[in-house]
Amino acid sequence: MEKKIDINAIYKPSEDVVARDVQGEFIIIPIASGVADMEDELFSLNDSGKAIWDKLDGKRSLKQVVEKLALEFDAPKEELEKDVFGILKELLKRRMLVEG
Amino acid sequence: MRDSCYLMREDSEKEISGEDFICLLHAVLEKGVSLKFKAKGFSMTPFIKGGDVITLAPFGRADYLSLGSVVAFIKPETKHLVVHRIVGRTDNGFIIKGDNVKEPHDIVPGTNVLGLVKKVERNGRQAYAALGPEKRVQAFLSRNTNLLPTMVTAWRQIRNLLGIKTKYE
Repeated sequence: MEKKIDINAIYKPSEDVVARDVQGEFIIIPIASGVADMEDELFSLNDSGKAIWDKLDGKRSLKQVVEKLALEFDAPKEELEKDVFGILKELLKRRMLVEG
Repeated sequence: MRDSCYLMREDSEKEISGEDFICLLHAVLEKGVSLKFKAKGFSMTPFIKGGDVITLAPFGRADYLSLGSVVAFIKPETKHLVVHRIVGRTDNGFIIKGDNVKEPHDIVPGTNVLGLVKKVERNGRQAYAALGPEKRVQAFLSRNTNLLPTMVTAWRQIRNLLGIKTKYE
């Protein structure tokens, strides 16, 4: 069963990924298996995803992340919250984030 | 800000090269993790061919590298990443050379060596890359002659004639 995400929860990037800006793209490679597989396990985040990833620093709650995004982007908070929850689900499913 | 898909899996044809690749390689190896990536070029043919998938591992200290090891290093003159074989050692660093190149070897400081090739895969199966104890013989042949590819081809023909199969086939 999918875990319900709490808006007051704090998340940060997992130690089990390597993430870098590469040739204008934000690349994430999982390393939990002990091998970073650039052939089969190379992921990229789109611009929205990257903007959210940068704010998931293990200090801000998701609520604060949404507030910060609202200052940067001209979009309603409800919509931004959906974006944050959307990416969080994808990243948690692949164990790229952990609770901070 | 809306996008339907935030996280995308890149296909295996995505090419990351140059400094970006070296940066990524450093980041992975620093975590004590191996990196799998596609080889390019022909300088290590027949042991490593373009398109083969190499598993490169961190090696700890330079002392752990031995004669015949195949390593990824930054070529001092060009700053390019190269995968070749250690064929000797001097006070100034390792003597490193491609198995299939006539050009003189490189003298490479230990700090330029980034990782050790642990496995080579070709078409999804492990390929023979002379990484076992026989690597010392390969190092000798590579350093002193360019006969190695010829010898390998000859060996394959003999093997086929005799119907001998290796564990990689």
